[in-house]
Amino acid sequence: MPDLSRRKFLQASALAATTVVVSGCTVDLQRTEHLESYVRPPEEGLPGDNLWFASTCRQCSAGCGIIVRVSNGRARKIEGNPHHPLNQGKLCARGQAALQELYDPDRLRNAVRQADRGTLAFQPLYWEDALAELSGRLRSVDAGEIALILGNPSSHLWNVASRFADALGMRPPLAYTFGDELTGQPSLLQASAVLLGEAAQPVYDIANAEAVFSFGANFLETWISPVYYSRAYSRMRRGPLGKRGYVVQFEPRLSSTAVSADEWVRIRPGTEGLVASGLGKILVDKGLLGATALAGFYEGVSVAEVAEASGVPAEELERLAGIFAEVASPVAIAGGGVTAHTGGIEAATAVHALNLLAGQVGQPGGVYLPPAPADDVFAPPPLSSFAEVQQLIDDMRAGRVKLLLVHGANPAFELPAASGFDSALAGVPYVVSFSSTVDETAARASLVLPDHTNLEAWGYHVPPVADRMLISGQQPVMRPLYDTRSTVDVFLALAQEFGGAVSEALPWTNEVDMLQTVLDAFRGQNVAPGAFWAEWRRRGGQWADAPEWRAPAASGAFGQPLSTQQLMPRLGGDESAHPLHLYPSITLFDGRGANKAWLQETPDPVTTVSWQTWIEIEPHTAEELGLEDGDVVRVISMATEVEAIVYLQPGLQEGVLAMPVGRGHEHYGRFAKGYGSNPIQLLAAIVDEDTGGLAWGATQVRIEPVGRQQELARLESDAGIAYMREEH
Amino acid sequence: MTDSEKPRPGHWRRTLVVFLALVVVTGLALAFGLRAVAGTESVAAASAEAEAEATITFNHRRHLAADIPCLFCHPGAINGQVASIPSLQKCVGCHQNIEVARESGQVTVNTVLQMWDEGRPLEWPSIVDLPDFVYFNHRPHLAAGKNCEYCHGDVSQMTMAHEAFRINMGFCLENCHRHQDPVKRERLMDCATCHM
Repeated sequence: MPDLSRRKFLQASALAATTVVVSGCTVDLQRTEHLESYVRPPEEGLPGDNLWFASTCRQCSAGCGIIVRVSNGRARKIEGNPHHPLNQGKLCARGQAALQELYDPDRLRNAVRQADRGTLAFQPLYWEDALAELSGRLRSVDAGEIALILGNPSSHLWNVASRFADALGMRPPLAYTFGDELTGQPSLLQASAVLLGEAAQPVYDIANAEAVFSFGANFLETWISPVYYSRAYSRMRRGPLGKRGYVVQFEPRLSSTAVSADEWVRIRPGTEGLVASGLGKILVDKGLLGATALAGFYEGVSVAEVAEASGVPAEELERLAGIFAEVASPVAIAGGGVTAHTGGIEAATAVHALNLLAGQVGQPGGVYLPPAPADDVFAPPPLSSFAEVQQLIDDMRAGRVKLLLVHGANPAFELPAASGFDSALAGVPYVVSFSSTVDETAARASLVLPDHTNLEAWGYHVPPVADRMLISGQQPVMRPLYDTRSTVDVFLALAQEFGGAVSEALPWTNEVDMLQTVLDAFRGQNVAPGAFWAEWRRRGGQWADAPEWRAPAASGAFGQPLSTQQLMPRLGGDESAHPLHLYPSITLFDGRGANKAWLQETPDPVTTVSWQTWIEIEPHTAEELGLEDGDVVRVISMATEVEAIVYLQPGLQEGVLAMPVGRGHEHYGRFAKGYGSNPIQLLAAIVDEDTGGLAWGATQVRIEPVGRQQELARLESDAGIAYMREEH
Repeated sequence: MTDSEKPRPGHWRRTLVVFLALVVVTGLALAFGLRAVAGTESVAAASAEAEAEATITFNHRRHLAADIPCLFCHPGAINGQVASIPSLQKCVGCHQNIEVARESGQVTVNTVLQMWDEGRPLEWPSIVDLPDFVYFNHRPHLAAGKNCEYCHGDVSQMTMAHEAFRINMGFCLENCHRHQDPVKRERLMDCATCHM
C-alpha cells in the first residue's frame, strides 16, 4: 500500500472512531428486558436467592457427591460436595458438564412410539398409554425371551430392575458400558475374585504410598474413580511421610496420567503383565525384598525375553525394580490396559504379585478391599462381561429374544461392529429404550420411555471404590423440565399391575417410598423417620466418619506360576498392520459426554484437540508410512473402516496407532451428531476366555491416506508438538 | 526516506484538530443520549411501551381497590432481595373463582386462564431495572419502615405499573440516604453499601 501515509491513516481512523461513537449514541442506554413469570413457582427458595442441594454425580460409575446451586428453580452450577468422603469437594469436568444433559435442547420431552424403527418418526404418547403398551408387550411374550441391558445403573435402579427381572422370570439383566470395558472394570472384578478372594474392586491407598507403579491405569483421567484417586495422588505428592511419592506409568501412549508421572515407561501394547513379571523376577532373583522363597513362582519368566517383547531394556527393568524395592510402601496398580488382551487374569496376577512380594496387601499405602456391604441392596451394581453381552447378541440373532429393554447403555454405538449387534437388534421384534435423548439405540427402538436426567431424579448409589461404608444419596435439585418419568417408577407401576410374585418382590408404591423403606436400616434408634430423611437429603447420603480399610482375606496369586509365554500379547491381523490403542476421552469418556458442548469444546489435555477424532502416530512411523500432520486417513480393520486425521505424537510407542473413543455419533443430539468418527467399530470381537472381557487391545489395523488434508482444531501451535520438539 | 514520508509542518496540528473534533462530537452525543434516558418525559413513554410489550394489561388500581396488599403478590420484597412477579399459579388461584372469564367476559383474565391451560408464562417488561453493579435488597428497606409507594409511587392509581420516579443513585441519596441521622448516614453514604 504505497499511498497510505501516516496522515491519511490517522484521518481515516478519526473518521471511523467518530462514526462508531455517533452510531453508538443512537442506542437507548436503558436496557429493555423481558421478564417471564413462573407458571408454577418452585416450591422452595426465594426469587434471587440460591439454594444448594446435595446429590450424586452419575456421569460415570464412581459416584462422587455433588452440590448443585439452584436459583429461581433452575440448576445453575454443580460442585463437589465438600463433606462427601469420596471426592471431598472436588469434581471433574464431566461432572460439571452434567448441567448440559439437563438442558440439552434435543432431549425427549415425553414418551414416544416409533412404528417404523429407525425413521425417527416419533409419535407422542401419554404415559398411561405408553405403560399399557409396554405391559401388554411384556405379557404377550414368554418371560424368558425378555432381556434387559443396563449401563451405569445406580444401585437402587439395579436393585429394582434385577428384582423385577427375577420375579418375572426374565433373562438376568446385564450391566455393560464400553467405558467400563476400557477401564477394565468387569475383568478386574474377575481377577479380584481369583487374587483377593472377592469380586470387589480393589482400593489402592495411593495417598500413603511412596511409589506407585501403574500398569495401564489412567487413574488421574478416567480410571474407575478418577476424582478419588486424583485427590489421593495430590496427598501423596505433598508427602504425608515426609517425602514426595514417586509415580511410574507403564503404557504404550503418553497419557495425561503418564504426563503427571515421574517416569513414563514406553512399553509395547499388551506387555503390561509381562513387564510386571519381569520386575517380579528381578526382585526375587536379587533378593531385593527378601522374598527368595518365591523363586518357583517366577521360574517360567525370562527377563531377557520380557525386555525383548516389551521394548524395555533389561537394565532399565533392573533400575525400576530397584526403585520398587527401595521404598517402604510401594504399590502396583493393574489398570484397564492389563486386561485389554487375552490372558487378562495372568497379567493381573503378575501385577498383583508385586504387591504380595512387597507385603503391601492390606497394608497402609497398599491394596485394600472396599467395606463389605451390610446387605445386597447396598452393594455396588455388578458388571457384566463382554462374553455375556455377546451371548445375548447371539440369542437375539437366533430369535430367542422377543423384547429388549435398554437403560443407560447405548449398545448400538459402543459395541464393535464385529459383535453383530446392529443386525441382531433389527431382528428383535420389540425394543424399548429408557434414554432421555435419542441416542443410536433409542433411534432404533419401538418405544422410548425417557427417564429423568440425574439432576431431576431420586436414588442412591454405592461407589465401587471407597475406603469406608458409603451410600451416596441422589435427590432432584429441580422439578423435571419435561414429561419424563423415573424408570424405577415405571418398573414399580408394572409390578403393581402384574401382581403376584412380582408385586411381592417390589412391594413399594413409588420410588421415594422404596428409598425411605430401604434406607430406614440406617436410621438411629431414637431418630424420627422424617428427621432421618431430612438429614439424608441434607448430607447427600450416609457414610462412616472414618476410613475402614479392609484387608483381603485370601490371596491365591501364588497358586499358578507365571510364564513368559503365557503373558505374551496376542494380536490379530496381518503383519503390515499396526496395533490399535484405544483410550477413553477424558471429557467424552466412552461417548456419553458427546452431547454436551462444553465437553466437546474442552481440548484433550495431551493433544489439545477438540470436536474432532484424530489418530496419533509416532513421527518415525508416520515417516515410513509417508504421512504428515493433518493428513486424513482411512483406518481399516477386518470389521470396518473409519476416517481420522493424523496427529504426530512423539509420546507413543513406535508402530502403534492410538485413537480416542467418544465421537462419531449418528444421533444423540446436535452436539454429538456428525462430529468425528467412532473407532470402537473397528475392533474385532476377541474374547478373553478367562475373564469374558473384550480384548480391545488385540486388534490390528491398516491405514491408507484418503488424499486430502484437514486442519485439526487444536489449542497448541498448528505445527504440533512433534514439530516443536524437532525445532527446539 | 522518500518525500511523501517526510514529516511536514502542520502535520501534528491537523491531527490535534481531528482529535478535538472527535472529543466534541463524543461529548455532544453522550449528553444527548443521557438526556433521553434521564428526562422525566420518558416515564410516560416507557409506560406506553410497557403496555405494548406485556402479554396482558394488568390493572393495579383494580386489584388494590379490592384491598389486596402489595406483598400478597410480591412477597419477595419482605422476604428477600427482589420483589418478584407473581406466578401464573397465583393469578389462577384467585381467578378460578373470582371474575372467571366466561362469566365476566374479562378479556385479560381470559388470557391468563388460557396461558395457564397451555402452561405458557406471561411476559412483562422490566419496570425498574438497576444496573448489575448495584447491590439492592428490598428487605432492609422495608425493615427500615419505608413503604412501597415511597419509591414506586402511588401504584393504586396506575393501571400498568410504570416508573413513578427515575430510580438512580441521585434518587436514593438525595431523597433518603443523605437525610438519615449521622450514624446511619455514614453507613448509607458509603459507596460499598450499594456497590460492594
